[in-house]
Amino acid sequence: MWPQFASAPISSILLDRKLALIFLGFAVLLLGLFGMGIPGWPCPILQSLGIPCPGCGLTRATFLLIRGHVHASLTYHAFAPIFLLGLAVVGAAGLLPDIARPFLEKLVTPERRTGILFILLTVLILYWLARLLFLHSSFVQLIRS
Amino acid sequence: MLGILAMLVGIGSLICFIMVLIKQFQNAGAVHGIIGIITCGIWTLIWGWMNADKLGIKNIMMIWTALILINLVLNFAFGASMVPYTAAPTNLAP
Repeated sequence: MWPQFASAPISSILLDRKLALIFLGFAVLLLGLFGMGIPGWPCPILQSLGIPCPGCGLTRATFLLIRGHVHASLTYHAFAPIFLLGLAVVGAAGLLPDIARPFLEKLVTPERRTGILFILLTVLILYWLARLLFLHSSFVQLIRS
Repeated sequence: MLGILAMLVGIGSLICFIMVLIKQFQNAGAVHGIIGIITCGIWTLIWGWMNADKLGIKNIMMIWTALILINLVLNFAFGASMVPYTAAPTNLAP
């Protein structure tokens, strides 16, 4: 029904240590830069069109969640806990020794079989559209703050 | 002057991003493409470099990476003071 599941991206990251480390490195770098008050990755959509993309605010939300500011984190982006969980799994895939890898490989089959990522992404797009349509000015103001 | 430069770099970056994103949707599928969008292009950049030789997009990737680096330098040199750490948002809609 959904042929894209065959190329499940999270699975390909989990099964490739190098890729997992690249992804983890980017995430840690972005969170670190944000923590130091240095502007990090410039979102091409926000910068050029002035419209926040579906992932805008996720770095801030994740940073705030790590610091324990749950309410503020969820205000910036409701998907921060899911992103942080995904980041932890990707981090484990990059850093755990080979002996622990069979456990991670067990996570691959459910992603391919259930299409959980596709469902999450659909909900994320709907969440973004709702913010954009019903809370437009406060959403843009929040992300630009 | 710097504002115009930043705008041009931003537009160039967006064009490169869209070009690679189209390739990503065509070759890797919708899920990869959507992840590329929601990660503000980070996943698209990584994926683009991973497949640059295979898809013949090395030039686009080099231009895009250069534009990102210019953008980062401009942001760091002239915009750092405008992006303070905010512990909690205060002016939120209900």
